[in-house]
Amino acid sequence: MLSAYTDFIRIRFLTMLAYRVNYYSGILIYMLNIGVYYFTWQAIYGDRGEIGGFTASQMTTYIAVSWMARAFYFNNLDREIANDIRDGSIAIQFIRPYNYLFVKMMQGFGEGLFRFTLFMIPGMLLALLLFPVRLPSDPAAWIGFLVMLFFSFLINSQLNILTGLMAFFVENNEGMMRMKRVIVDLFSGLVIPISLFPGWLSSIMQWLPFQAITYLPGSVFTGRTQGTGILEVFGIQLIWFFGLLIPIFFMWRAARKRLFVQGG
Amino acid sequence: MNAIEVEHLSKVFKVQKNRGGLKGALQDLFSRQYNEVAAVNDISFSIPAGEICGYIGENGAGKSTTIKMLTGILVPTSGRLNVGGYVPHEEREKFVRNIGVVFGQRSQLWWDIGVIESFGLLRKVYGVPENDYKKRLDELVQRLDLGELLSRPVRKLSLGQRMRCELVAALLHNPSIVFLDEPTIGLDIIVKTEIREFLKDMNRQHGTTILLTTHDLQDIEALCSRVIMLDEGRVIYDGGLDTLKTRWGQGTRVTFQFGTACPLARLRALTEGVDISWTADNDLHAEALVPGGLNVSDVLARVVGQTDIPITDIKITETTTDEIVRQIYRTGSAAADPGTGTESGRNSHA
Repeated sequence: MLSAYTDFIRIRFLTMLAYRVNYYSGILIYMLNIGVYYFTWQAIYGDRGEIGGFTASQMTTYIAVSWMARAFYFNNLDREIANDIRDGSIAIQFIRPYNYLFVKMMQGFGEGLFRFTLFMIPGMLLALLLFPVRLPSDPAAWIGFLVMLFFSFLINSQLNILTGLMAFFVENNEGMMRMKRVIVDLFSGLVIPISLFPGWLSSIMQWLPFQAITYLPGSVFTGRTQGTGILEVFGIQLIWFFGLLIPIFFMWRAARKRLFVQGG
Repeated sequence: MNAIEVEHLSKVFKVQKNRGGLKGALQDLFSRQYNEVAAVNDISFSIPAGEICGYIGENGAGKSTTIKMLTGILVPTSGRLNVGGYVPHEEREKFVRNIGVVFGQRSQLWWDIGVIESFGLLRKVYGVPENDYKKRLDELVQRLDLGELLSRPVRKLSLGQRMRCELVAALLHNPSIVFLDEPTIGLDIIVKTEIREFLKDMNRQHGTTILLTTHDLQDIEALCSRVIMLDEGRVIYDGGLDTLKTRWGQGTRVTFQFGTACPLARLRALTEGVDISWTADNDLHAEALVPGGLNVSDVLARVVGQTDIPITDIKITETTTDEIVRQIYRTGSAAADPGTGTESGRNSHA
């Protein structure tokens, strides 16, 4: 059975590989994004030394690594699940002796592996050439970042699963999926680091899972969080990962009862 | 032993009611109204192991909903279910290892990968040992003639090729109960025949229990000794196909084509005293319906040979299952005919 789950990772990886040309343009778009934010922040900083606890050079590194992390953790599990529900092919998933959500997670991971090796790493190398990005010298920062990056993927996928499953309860969750994407990009600190949010908003963010996706791993990579601080922020990720399993469990159970296979 | 047991099974869906007009749409935004629709309404039946049973009914009669409850996809609103010793929706993961399902309208193969890779993945999903898998796959590939299709991606298969692959995918783990939801939909006659032959052989060799829904009654005639007929969520007939035919068959239809005009009255006069009903579209064409008990030759003897009625063509047709079923759908009940009880049919095939 376990080998079946790893097969889902392998097959998704190979399928993505077959469509890899699509991702070359993706790298370009991400570079453009990094460029836009880089020059915007350059202008904002001028000759100021520090904004919201970030030096100009930390900000550049933060932008680059945040976008490249997104290149890895991003996936369309929400859309895939919603489509399965809407066109009724979810029925096929129920006649198989496996857990649908676990399979989706595995497929997401297969996609993640592809994105990591063929999107994130070459993208990061390109970013290093184009922008003054400073890589951490502390091995703890590297290890902490990579482990946390994996949990970014898990937490982001969990949010995607929750959004996708909403298709069981509302007729059309398209709006919800779009809203989720904007919220994750904004509140995870991808667009603006959370420490730059107004005080009240950044204190709300402390209690939401989004910071665990981009902001916390980014802080480790830029060296703003060091030593035992790394374990602390990793702890926050762990809490969110286990915490999000609860709503998924209940939503899945409710969905099983509500299931209405579209199209007969 | 019964492979499938169903008692007082019901499934009620809540369907959102849409009020008309702008005002109605606004009202719907704030308070939704729902209609309750019983897709399956208190049905009971049992299917012994090793039987091929046809499950028929019009669109929306509740066939697919029943199949989805029997396969553990849907949770019933009420009633008892037992399939192969399991309550499907309660022990879903264990239960589905023992069944095979084919939905004619949905593919269960992975679209982007090769057929053989899909099979390999299913082998792992079902935990079939390598040796059993090889043997089973060889047997199926040979039987369904899939040889050169195996390496192709699913999206490049024709419907007939895909359907044969779907069958293999559903049967790789050698299930003892197989559900087929419109397995021959959209297929040409050659593939249809092939699939029917294959299913019959499988039933004979492995004693597989098969429940089959279809709109093609030829599937039923070729495969099933028993049919369950559904209308508006209720079972309206459950029994042997032969019983259905003898009770509901309207006898034989004799169609005449005349060389010169022959009024209906003249024909009626000729068959005076015999229980035959005549119908005609025009004077050159007439149809006689001969009830079951009568001999067709009696009718022919009276009409043929009359010198003033030159007959250019005669056609004799038996009432087909299609016609019988259409007739039953129209009246909405098969029990209306005394003697065509549910019980008699069920007992006739045990």
